[in-house]
Amino acid sequence: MRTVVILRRTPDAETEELARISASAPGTPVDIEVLVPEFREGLAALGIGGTIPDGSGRSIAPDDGEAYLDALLVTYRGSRLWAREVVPDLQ
Amino acid sequence: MTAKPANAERQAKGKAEVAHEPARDAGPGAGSSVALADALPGWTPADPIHHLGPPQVAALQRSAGNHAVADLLRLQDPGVQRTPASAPPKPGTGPAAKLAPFNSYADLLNGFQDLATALINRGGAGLDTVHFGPDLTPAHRSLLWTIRTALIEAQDTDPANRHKAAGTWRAVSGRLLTAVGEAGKLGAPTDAIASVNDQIAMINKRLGSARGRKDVPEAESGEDYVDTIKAIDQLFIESMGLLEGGPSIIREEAPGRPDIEVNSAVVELNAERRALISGVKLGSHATSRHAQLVERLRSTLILMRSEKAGSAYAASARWRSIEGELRYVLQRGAHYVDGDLSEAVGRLEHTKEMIDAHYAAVHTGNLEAVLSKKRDKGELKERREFAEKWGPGMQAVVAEKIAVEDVGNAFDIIQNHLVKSDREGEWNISNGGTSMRIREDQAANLHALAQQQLKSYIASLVTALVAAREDYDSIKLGNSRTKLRVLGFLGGADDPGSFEKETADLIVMRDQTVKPMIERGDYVGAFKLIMDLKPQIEKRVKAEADYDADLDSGYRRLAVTMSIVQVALVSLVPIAGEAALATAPMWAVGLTATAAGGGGAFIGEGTRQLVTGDHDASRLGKTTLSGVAIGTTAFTGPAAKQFGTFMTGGSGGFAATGFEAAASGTFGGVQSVAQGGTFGEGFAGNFLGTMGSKFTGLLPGSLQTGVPGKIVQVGVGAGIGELTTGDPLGGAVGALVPSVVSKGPHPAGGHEEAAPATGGAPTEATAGRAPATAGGAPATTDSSLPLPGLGGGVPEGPAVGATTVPGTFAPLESAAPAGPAVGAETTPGTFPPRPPAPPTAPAVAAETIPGSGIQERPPSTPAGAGTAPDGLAGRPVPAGGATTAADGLANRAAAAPADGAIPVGAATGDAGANSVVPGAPADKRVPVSAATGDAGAGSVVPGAPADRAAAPQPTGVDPALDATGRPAPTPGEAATGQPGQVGGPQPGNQPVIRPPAAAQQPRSKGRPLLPNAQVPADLPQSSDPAYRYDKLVAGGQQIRHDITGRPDFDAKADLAAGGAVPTSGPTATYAKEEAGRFQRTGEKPAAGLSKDEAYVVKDTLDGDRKYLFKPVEAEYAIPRAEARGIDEQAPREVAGPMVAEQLGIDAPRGKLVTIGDKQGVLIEWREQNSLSDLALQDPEGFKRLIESEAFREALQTTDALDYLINNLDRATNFGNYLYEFTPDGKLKLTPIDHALTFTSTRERASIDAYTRELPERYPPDLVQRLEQLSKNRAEFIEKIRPFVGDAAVEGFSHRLDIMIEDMHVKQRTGRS
Repeated sequence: MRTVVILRRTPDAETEELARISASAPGTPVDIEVLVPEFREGLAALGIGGTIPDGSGRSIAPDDGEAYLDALLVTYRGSRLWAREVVPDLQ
Repeated sequence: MTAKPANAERQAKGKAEVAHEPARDAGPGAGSSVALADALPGWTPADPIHHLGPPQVAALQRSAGNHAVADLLRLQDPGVQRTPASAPPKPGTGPAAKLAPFNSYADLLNGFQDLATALINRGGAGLDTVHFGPDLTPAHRSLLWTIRTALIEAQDTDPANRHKAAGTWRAVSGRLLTAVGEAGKLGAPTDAIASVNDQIAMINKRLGSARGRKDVPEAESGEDYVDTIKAIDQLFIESMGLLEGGPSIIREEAPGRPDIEVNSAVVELNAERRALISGVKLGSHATSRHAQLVERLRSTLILMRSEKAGSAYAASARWRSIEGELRYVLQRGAHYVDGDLSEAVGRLEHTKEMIDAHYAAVHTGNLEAVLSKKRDKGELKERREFAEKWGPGMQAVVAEKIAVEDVGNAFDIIQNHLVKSDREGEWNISNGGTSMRIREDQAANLHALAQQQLKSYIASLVTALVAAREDYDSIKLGNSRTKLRVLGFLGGADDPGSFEKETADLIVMRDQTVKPMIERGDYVGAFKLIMDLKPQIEKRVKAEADYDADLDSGYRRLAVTMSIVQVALVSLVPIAGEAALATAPMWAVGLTATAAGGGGAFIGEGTRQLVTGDHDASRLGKTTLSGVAIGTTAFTGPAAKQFGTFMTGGSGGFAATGFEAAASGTFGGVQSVAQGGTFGEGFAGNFLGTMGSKFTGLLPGSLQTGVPGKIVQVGVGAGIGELTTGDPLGGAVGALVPSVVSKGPHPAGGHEEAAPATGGAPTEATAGRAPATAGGAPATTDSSLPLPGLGGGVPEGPAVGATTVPGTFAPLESAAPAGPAVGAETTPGTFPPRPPAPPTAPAVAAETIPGSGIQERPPSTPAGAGTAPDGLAGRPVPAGGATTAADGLANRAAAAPADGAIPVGAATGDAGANSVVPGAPADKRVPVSAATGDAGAGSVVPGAPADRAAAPQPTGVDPALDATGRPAPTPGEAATGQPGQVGGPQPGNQPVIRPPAAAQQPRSKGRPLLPNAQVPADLPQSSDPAYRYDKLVAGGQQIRHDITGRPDFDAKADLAAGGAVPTSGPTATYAKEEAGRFQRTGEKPAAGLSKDEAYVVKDTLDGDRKYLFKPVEAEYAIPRAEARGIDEQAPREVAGPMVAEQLGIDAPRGKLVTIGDKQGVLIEWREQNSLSDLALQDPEGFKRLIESEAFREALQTTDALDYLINNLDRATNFGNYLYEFTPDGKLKLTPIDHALTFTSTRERASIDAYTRELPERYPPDLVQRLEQLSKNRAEFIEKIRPFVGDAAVEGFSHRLDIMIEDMHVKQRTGRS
């Protein structure tokens, strides 16, 4: 299973996990967990859970499974909001 | 197409097929005869007839006019808001005198269908528990009770009772037939009427039919359906091919306007089609009912192909009266005939679209006639021919003259011939012998827009003169007196003299004379005055332009400045267009906006080519060019977009695309002329380029469906020239036309005479009841019953409520026509959808992010909520196990059947209306509270309804409607429905911006937004916001869909095909480690973070100032950046803010350092909220902000920065903006994160979601700074070169040139 977390950095410089997106197996849609219930609508507004571009600009949807995880990683790269793959030994 | 085998054969088959389906949904009486019932073709009762409620009536009053529903209202309950009838019917003569209220008929027919279903599907089980509606009149209630008693007695084992029942039925069925006829007159859905008739025929087989009546329905049969459907389908086929090219094609005669000639090609094509339609034969097996239906369809299609005035209206009305029954027949027939009927259904849909589109186009043409100046027959043609002999110059002069005449005429009509009708909510607009009713809001919009356009016109003239004055002044200031004398002598230029006085005089004239005239409604006078002023202003502007041009032939102000006058004229065109666009349904907009300019020509030629099969792309282009050549404006890309949006009243989308394309094309024309080319050449690139990506893909489909896209109203329009004999200037009027067209009085449907409004206007805007299913609800008939006509006790026809064959289409849509509602036209959004129902299940496994299907953690999965394979929480099964089909549309709210029958739809999950699980019961009631009730539109993943259910919603009223039933104003739209002020409030009139009270501040998880990040509740919204929240939530990014395979966010237009992009490698070095200086702060990294992640440090040598440290090794390779030559990112984080500083933008600065053994960039840390914080913590505030004018304005400088540095990571990446409201209430955006900037490519990348375009406008400070940067560019480039690399600087300089040029153009057009 691969997992990507969406994080943000708050004004006071703390990081916070917002969502975890996992692909249990190749070919299966991702599973999205909202870690802060209040943020569910905002996450949608930020495109998380929707169609996003992959590295080549193609549109990728959650149904694309692992490709969606890859797309998250290249889409959210900011210092305030970013995606990061969870390395197994760091979980 | 053949009839299916008889019952006996199918019974055996049915037994085998349903063996796996337990009688889970069977009502009492199910059991032994499961297979029998399922073997019968499905009964497909129509949607229950819905009552009329106040919202529907109010909507109809608005859309169709009060008169259209007056008769119906007289029959309604007192609770329904109504306006007084103009003249009460005489006693004994009006419909109210003998007809019951509509709702009583609805309850009567619904109740009878329930009884028939119980009798035939369940062998009578449940007959005694059928609930009757509350609105029955005593007579109707008595009738139902009598029928119930007869049907119950028909099941009795005592032959005497059965005979008695037969006698009773024969008597009451006559009364029922009478009621059915009356219901039809009142506009009951025709599919319901047909369904009831079939049920009566079926029961007649068992119990005998009414005597002495000619309207006893005949029983259906396979042969009947074969003949009927063949004929219907053939009629559809023969009528196809009508393509609506645009409103400037005259399709119908205009009453009182002989000068409006029907296009000869239309006449010819119509005649051909009428002959084909008339030639369709109907087989001999069709029942008289079906034969009548076929003939009504035939006459409808012939009407559509006729030119006589009123034909399209009549065709549309007649179509509404038969559409439901047509659908019913096709659906019902699927059980009787072999073969795939889906194509026939598709042709029905296409025919419906054609009729709608045709009516809209004709309506447009009529309106065009109303608004254009009445002329002698052939006058326009003569004038055009005259102008052609004298060349383009004369053509333009004549074109303008005609346009001015028509526009003046339109003002006269609006001022003097737009009068309030005696029918409430309606106005009459007339011109000579032609008159038309329009809605009150349309009339109001016409007045408002007349005022707006006249003011805009005079403002444009002032602007032109002011621009001339400024140009003159700048020339004077920029050249020495000696030089001016010399150049004046050599170039022959005459000094036009100062513009000061006349500019001041014009402003006084505008403010003290013209505006007051406009405001008191003297449009004609104001227009005349403006026209009188115009030549003088043009002369003066031209004098300055000549002077300027003579002094510097390379200076291109002439074309731009002169075009302002053209813009002013063109801007009059959409005067009524906006009125229409504010309220029109899409199909009407699409059709009515194709009037003028290149859009009209493009569509016209496209249509002709499609009709004739002559596909010639070059010709298409040429026609388009000639159509737009007249209209020279001065819009650039972003400005064009703005103009397009303005034209479409802020609606954006497809409509705006058309405007944008034309505006862009026109700008291209201007540019081309300025550069020595032809206007057409320039236009071609821009117009077709713009449309290429946004329209081309839509063209064929939209044309074929009769809904051509909305194109431009720029230019006076050669319009449809190729297809019509049309006057190229017709576009001017044509463009005025769409305005009002939004929705003119639409034909009454349902019944042409009574024009009631029902059927399509359910209070619960459901698509209807789910298809009846059966399998578990057999007819437990007693074959020993010696009843007359019983034939062994099993009706030969299909069982009521029997299985609907999977894959067949449900009858749902038939009851909810998308076009004009029965009785009146329907405005999308007019009828409120079913209000969200409280879920029957107490909790759902996970909440869902609207549009995303994201589930929340930690969910507590209730029993029964499984997890779907997609990882999303499964749908909990509501009590009783009932869920709705995936269409999310529940049937009418009703208590669960007392007989214990499980509601239809149980276990159908999200199978959809078209795939009802065989074996579902005949009872069609589904609890309104079914969990997936509003899951339609695909916005919510099935199984997660709680989110919507939890949201407070007004009961019974569409959130988009206000209490009056009118569409609620959208942001930027005034309460009147008129477009809001373009560009936001005027400077100096800004409302006070204040943060919400503490109690109103949104909750967040322990970290409230900073005080300066609270979005004021009254933040003024933009009429054309930078982003729309709903689209963001819905994933509505502008993705290119014209790319083969997957849609693509990245246009890649800036990348040379196949060409390698060199990497631009920075040469800047990283400062050496200063041990101990930078210390990591106490920030708490989330679990699982890599040690290479960026982190915040404090500078111990600088008062513990905070920085974000981004190690180089933590940089992530981004393909879109690498493809454009970006490799090392950290130095670019330094260069980006350097450019920002040049532009006066506050962006955190960076510096390259080494901390420990890591090289990286330190970026000033700002304790500010990002827009992503706002989105997360206060979605409402986020919506307000991104849709605000302040945000749009604040983006101007950010856009400038991003354009110059070719930033590949901003736009909707809201984490890359910090924001705050300054103490004076202004919004300040702070751009951050500039790692993906400074490509090796020259042109600005276009990657939706990441990039934006040139600024829409240039604030004064930005203008100065850009000029300064341009002057000092060489020096500055050397400063950034080490941080961006050699290959990146050329592109930076190139884009700076483009921006400077763009800025100059916008300065001259008053948009700087």
